[in-house]
Amino acid sequence: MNPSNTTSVQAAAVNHSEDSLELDAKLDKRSSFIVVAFILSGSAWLLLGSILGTIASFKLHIPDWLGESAWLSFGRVRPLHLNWMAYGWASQVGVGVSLWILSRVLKTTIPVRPWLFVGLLVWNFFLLIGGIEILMGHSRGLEWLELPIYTIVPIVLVILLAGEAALAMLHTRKTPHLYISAWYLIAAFICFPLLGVVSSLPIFDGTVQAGMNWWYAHNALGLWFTPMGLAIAYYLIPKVTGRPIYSYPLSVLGFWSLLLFYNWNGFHHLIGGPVPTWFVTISVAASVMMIIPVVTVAVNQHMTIIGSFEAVKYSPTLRFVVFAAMSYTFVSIQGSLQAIRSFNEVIHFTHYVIAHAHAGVYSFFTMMLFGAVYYIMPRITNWEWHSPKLIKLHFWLSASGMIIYLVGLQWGGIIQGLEMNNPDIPFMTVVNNTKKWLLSRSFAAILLTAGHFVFAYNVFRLMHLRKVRPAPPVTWLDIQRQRALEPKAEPASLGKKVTSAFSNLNKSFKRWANDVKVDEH
Amino acid sequence: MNQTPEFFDSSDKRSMDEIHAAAFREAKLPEEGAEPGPVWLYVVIFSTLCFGFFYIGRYLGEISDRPHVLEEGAMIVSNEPEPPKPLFKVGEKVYRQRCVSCHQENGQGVEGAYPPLVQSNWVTGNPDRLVSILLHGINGNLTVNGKVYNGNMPAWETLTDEQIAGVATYIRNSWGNSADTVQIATVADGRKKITRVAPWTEQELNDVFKPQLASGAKK
Amino acid sequence: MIKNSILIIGIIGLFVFAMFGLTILPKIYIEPNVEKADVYVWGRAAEGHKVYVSHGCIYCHSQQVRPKGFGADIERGWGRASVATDYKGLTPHQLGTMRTGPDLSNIAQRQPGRDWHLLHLYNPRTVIKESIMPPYPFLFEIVDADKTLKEGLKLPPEYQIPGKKVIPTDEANALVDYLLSLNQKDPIKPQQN
Repeated sequence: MNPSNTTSVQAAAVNHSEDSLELDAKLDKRSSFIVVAFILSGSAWLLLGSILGTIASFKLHIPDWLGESAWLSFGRVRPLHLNWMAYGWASQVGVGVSLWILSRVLKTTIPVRPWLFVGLLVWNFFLLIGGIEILMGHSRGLEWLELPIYTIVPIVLVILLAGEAALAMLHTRKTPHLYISAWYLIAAFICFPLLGVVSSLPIFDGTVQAGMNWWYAHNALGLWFTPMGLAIAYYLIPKVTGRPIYSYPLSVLGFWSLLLFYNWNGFHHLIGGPVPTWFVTISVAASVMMIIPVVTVAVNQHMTIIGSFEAVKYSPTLRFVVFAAMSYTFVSIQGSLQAIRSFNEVIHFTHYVIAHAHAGVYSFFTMMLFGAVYYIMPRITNWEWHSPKLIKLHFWLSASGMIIYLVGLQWGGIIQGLEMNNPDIPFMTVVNNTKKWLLSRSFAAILLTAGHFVFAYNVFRLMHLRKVRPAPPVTWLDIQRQRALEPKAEPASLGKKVTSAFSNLNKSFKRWANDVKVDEH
Repeated sequence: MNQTPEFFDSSDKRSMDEIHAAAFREAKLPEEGAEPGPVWLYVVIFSTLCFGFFYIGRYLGEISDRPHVLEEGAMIVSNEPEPPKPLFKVGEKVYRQRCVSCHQENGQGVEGAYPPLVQSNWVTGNPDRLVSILLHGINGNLTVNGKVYNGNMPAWETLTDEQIAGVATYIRNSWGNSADTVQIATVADGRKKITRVAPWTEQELNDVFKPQLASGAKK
Repeated sequence: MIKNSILIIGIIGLFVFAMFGLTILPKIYIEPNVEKADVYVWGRAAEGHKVYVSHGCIYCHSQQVRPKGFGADIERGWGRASVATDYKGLTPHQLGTMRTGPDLSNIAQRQPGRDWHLLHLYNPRTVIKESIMPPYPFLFEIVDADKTLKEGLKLPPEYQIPGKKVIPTDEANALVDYLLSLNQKDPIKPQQN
């Protein structure tokens, strides 16, 4: 696409041991402990959350299973699944990865690391207590805000502390240029504590509270997870492919339009509900206008990666990140469409919405986090991943599980919605017709949970089962360097072009035939 | 753990290259490009903005606290009489909404609690009795086809005469039942004739009503 | 370095703008009329609302009826279109966004039978064979039949436990009181503007 791209790859290849890499390594060493702590802690919540999610899924088609226990009833396991996934796994690993990226792009160390570690312990303590409270039935009763106030507030304060660290890094940065990932991360760290504080104020009641509830829930996804996910993509795609971000102006346009429109989306969860119509209309319009930041980001990232798609063969990180970035485009466009009243009339109140939420938090954000963890861990723990095969297995379990989840539940959800809007179909018939789709979701849940255990085993092995140091992987950049050294065909007549095409073909065939052993990281 | 993991061991004397081998195989973060982007992107952005403003303009409704502004007349109870529906259809709708949870979709009820409506003389017999059960409910045991059921039936006096007549007609002519239509006038009469607060018991029903009306029963 | 402040002020500005629009503005518009409304929730129903929240009923049951012409909520007999005053005095709100089970805004009109609700809570499959609702046996006590004078649930034969009675706890009774208070019988007064 852009002819300067190839040269920059070569330049990077030449400047292999440049200053900045050494600086990065030093920064990595400083951030190592705290980032590892956040990643490990979040991964533990991921396992717990997966088990809860699987239990909840099975309960929808085997309702009497574990039915004797109030603690394990559906109405308690399901919200706990959400809270431990959102505030345990996604937020903790998100914070860890974000701090690492900020340290890298701002060329400065993470401040207050001991306090962040104490904060993590406090966070875990209150998340556990809050979880037990939910199981005991002391939920706050608002979706996404089930944790009792006294447990969510300390967690918000810890995130505020991490946000302070981020702002401090912004002020002590050594780079005059502000890389786009930093924009997104600063936004996330400013918005979430504000969200947390406002949603904890006891001034909301009735439908106003419902509005606040969905403003919060949608923004937790839109202004906390989404910017972190996009920041990861903006950092890792150029890092892995060695190609520069296509366009800085587009990045900036995408950033500000995201903030402008995402903020206003909340009321589209209450279409047809007892809230003033004009608020809903504004939210629907803002949801549709989300197309602007989404398409901008999609073009920007696609144009960055185009021509390097082969890299996903070599980099598991990129595999996860590309899956996540594509899911982001998909889930956001879907979100814009389903906010429109006539579509919403069908899918509102159905399992379709559950699947949509998972497409956002899992297909997009969680896959992005997996990619980031696979990239970061070797850098901060001084050890390589032991088994590329297990990483591949994890990817395929997660990806196929999610695809089954989405296809099954969204198809089933649309059927459910259409039938529910036809008053001639008895309600029990509608319920019966959703059962098979709920079953497909449980199958997906097993795949996803299995994937998470493979992931956890990979991490555990890297941390604690260190015997023989695995060989360093052959990265996509190595492949690029190797290719750059190969003699190039001179651009000339058609005849020469044809012969060079043949020789290229021949080369790639030889590469394939020799089965260049590609190890991965 | 008694051994500190080596990745944050400060006494580690190895060189940076060794410790952070992974970082050194990276490329420097390349500087961003400054492409303007394809034209179609701007077309998409512009049309999205247009749609957004059109949508707000078209569907804003009014700046007030009223919900459901767009659905015309959603909050106003219509005064126009609806076109009359056959009683059976009216009854089917009422049955689906209010009766299925006990008497079930197939009219078979729940053993021990809610009696079946199929092949039951309480349903196909005296229409006055059926209407009165619907209006006032039943408490205590009820014997249907030799089996005893003891679920309480609530009073449905809040339903309109048409709805009661409809649902009575519906259950008298579904699942193989066959009996004559219950007229709206019958319900109105029933309401006037018997005013009571407490639900019926089986005994009282048997005292007041005959199982069949000479003109009513076809079976 | 001017960018830092632009970035931070821009982010906070856009956030607060929307926060005002979607939380404070609705409060200003909605609350005055709701406060005027003549709606009371009596004691036991308020207790039951807590039980409803505690067991997470909201994850499968909504409590908001969409207006005529939008969905088939009204045709299904789920009540009239909901308005803000329906939710007065009960916090947290339980509007819900999921209908794995039916909407409950008007459940007391559709099913006024206390016995039915108790049976259905004890085990939904006692009354609806194909239901996928979880059972709530922990809201009931199982006691020896000869040790209590209280009336037990009238269970269908296959669910009966020989020599035992199933007695609803206060929690179960409160929950049913709450469900029986979800009644849109009273027509809502047209809202003034």
